[in-house]
Amino acid sequence: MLQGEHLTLTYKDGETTLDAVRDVSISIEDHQFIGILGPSGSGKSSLLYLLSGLRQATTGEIYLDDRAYGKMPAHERVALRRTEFGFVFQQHFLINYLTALENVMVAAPMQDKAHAEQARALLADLGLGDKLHRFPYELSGGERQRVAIARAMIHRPRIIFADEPTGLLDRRTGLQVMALLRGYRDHGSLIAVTHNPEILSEADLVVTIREGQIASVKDRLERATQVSAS
Amino acid sequence: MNPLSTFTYYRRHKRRALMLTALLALAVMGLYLVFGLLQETYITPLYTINRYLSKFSLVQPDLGTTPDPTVVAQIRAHPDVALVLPQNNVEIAVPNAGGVDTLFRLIGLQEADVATVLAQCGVTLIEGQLPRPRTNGLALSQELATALNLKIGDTLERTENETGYANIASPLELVGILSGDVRLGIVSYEYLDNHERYRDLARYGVLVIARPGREAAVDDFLRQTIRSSRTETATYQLLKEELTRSLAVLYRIGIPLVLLVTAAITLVIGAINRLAFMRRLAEFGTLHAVGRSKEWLARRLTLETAGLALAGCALGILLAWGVMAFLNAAVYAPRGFAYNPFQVTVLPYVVPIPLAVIGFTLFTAVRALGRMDAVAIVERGELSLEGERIGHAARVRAGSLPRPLASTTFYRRHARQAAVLIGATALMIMGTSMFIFALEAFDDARQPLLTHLRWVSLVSPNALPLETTVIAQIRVHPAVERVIPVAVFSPLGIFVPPTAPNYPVEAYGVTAEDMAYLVELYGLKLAEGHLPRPNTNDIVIPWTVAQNRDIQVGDVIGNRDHPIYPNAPTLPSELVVSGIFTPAEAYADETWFSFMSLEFAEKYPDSWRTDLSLIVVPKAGQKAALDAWLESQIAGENRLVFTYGNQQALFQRQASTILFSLSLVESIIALVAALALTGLNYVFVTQRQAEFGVLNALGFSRLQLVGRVVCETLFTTGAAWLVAVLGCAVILLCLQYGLYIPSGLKLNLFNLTPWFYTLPVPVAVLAVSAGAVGWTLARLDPVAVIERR
Repeated sequence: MLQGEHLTLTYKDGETTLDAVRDVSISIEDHQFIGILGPSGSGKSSLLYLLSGLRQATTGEIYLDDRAYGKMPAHERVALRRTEFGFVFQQHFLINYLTALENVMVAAPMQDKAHAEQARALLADLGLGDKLHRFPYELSGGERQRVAIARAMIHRPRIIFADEPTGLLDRRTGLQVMALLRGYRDHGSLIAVTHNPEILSEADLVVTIREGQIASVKDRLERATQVSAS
Repeated sequence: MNPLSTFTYYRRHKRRALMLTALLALAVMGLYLVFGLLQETYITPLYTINRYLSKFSLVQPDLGTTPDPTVVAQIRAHPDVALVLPQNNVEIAVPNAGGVDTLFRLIGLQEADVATVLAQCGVTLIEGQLPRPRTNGLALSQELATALNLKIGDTLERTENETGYANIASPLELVGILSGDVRLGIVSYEYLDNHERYRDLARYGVLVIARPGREAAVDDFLRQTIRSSRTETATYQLLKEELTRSLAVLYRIGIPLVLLVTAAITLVIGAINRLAFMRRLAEFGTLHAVGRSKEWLARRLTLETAGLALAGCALGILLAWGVMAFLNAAVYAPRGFAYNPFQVTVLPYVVPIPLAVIGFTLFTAVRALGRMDAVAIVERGELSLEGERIGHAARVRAGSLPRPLASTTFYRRHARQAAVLIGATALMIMGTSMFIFALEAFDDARQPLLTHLRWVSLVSPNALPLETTVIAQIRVHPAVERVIPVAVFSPLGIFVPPTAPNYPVEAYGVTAEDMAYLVELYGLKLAEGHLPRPNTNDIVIPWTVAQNRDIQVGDVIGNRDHPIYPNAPTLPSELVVSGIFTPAEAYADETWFSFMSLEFAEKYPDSWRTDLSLIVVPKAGQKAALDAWLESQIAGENRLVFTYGNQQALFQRQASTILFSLSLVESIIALVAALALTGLNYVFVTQRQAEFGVLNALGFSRLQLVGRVVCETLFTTGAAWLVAVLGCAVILLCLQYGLYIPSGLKLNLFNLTPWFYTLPVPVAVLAVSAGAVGWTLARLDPVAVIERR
């Protein structure tokens, strides 16, 4: 279980300070799909960076099971990202000189044949079986994002963090990508940040962030009720 | 404000501009210092300390001690000659601040002439007194006294410098310090003339002073009319010609180095420019779309680089001047060899760098812009290197195990980048080590000069004939097998590439009986002809010398038509090559010396120097003990002892002095290379910030990323080292088979010393790159990278 308690992230810009995240507490259960929703600049991505250990909270603490990020040395936090977490960003961030298969293998725990086979199988499952040896610039936007998803899944992380994973894709492709990500719930949790509520329709919980604070938390039932009421 | 000004881009990209300027400045400074210091160490001192020849000339016979009266009368009769004064002189070696010796004449003048010569030279006595007649007094210019570390009352003695002061048969006492336009060393003519030990060592001749304004005419007359194979002249014009020749030699040696460094720096700058170009494709596409021609764009790009190149060049020259001025003040001037740090003659060595960089930029800009499609660029948006297509070479094999993070993967997919890095590093390695290879080649090739001393030792007289008691002492020594009287000559020179002058190869004048014995002892065999017959002008020479000088049996040497080496004086008599020895089976056993008839040589006591030496043959197994005894008990003021050990040590001392200078040169280039290549590596790494940011986000620690980049650098520097070593090996083989073997010489391809000098550049590049990359990645913020995109 991942838990953030009273998280605040403050950026300093000269004399002025900006609270990107303000006193946020959040809890994510295993195999849960959490959506973080909010307009641009609301602090949703900052919250994701905090939860994934890419940023350290100014105040507050994050726990993965009983392990507190704040007490971990930097290299342990890095190792945590490598073993327990997977990432999908708005841009694919594939390494341009590596093929699709190699990009996936970058995140594999070992660079051996077994993991290479696993990566091939994963890419085939994602519909890229015939494009294993294509470079990123030879793939479409959706295909690149699918390679990025495979890279996020290859090491079977406990949590996948997805930051605007469909932000640069058309609607149809975006929904396909989200379907692939949702499918990971059998293996671990998914935390997706977006400003598009449509792609969070299947989320177990949707947390809305405004000005760095949680504005609302709604489960499926509440959202369904809200929709039918409107 | 003009947004399209040539300088706008670099004004807004100061770090890049600074780096390119610094790289160029470093390269220019490095080359300037290398050639400036080489010039001030090996060439200029010759001119500096012999510039007295601009005030007077010297004429003396090539051999013997008596100036030809006809020649002297001819000089006196010349209308432009003001004065002809008798002079004698001995040469000493003056070490300069770089540890290199330069020959300088201590001129013996009669008392009445000293004031005239000083006045002619604009030199005055500032301390002490002038040498009195028939005393061992010496007056020296203060710079020379400083260089020789002498003050009034000190003596110049052979024991202090056996080779440099070999002609100082008896100590000379510094009694006066001179100061003036030129440097002088004056001793008493009568002292050198009357001293029995100087009589054979001193050269005799006349000192010629021209009428005012007629110096050039007298110089021409002495060079063109008086100078002959039997009469040596030392004039200002000849000095300048020698200086020009030396500069030409330096130029010949320098061209490959300049080419290598220029090529490497051009590659580095070209690679950096190319990265910048790729990042600016959108800018160029847009400008082209709004009506700027490709020629205009190419011109703008070239002008941008030209501005930086010229600024870098100017900065490099300024920095080099600063360093040269500092070295002058701190090292050279205090040792009597002050120089002008602003050396125009060095500029040609550095000018190719900015020119090559500008030319290369123009070429690549025209080539790249020629293929530019503005619409494609505008449609594809901003492209960076990361957006560049991977070449055909990068096609992957479907069945192979993916190794995405291997160093080879990156460079397989960035073959051009790898080629630039490897090429530039390899060129730098070759550039830095080539001097050492040349030196070692020369050193290897001349080893046979010493080979004969492995079997025997030589005791030679110094100024006076060997005393009979000493000869007797040697003869009865229990370790001595045989003592052979020998007249030692140097009738032939051998040319040892790449730059050495003709190296004298000694000839032993021995009796027929001793000759047969020595031939047997050295295991020599005649390839053709016969050994010299007694009382004839026959000479038998080694195969190498015959090959080197293209001499056949029956050839006559030593006359005007067949001089012993180009421009050499004639021998007292012609010699006929009666035989040629076979070459040794192994080059290490090669022996370079000739035999001729002792009886014949003794017919010319006034011209051949026939004070007999002794070849001392040890009993079996007694060589080391005998050499030790000769060196400790026999060597002295009147006797020179040549053993394999002390001559080898002398060779090594000479080589290590030069090696030290060259190591300094290499250090300068290695530093420049390391910084330039590190700069390039740094640029390449910064281009990959996104990759490193994402890898860090995915869980790769900074240490792992630094390790990966270090591995990649190790791969390129390792590959570059292999390429450089291969290149050096190819050059050595070309030298061996193209230059040395046809000259009868051989390089020792298994001499490891120069190969060690290929290591500093890759090691420095690796170390500095690791530091720079570590420093860069230590500040890596993955979130910033992700958000920036």
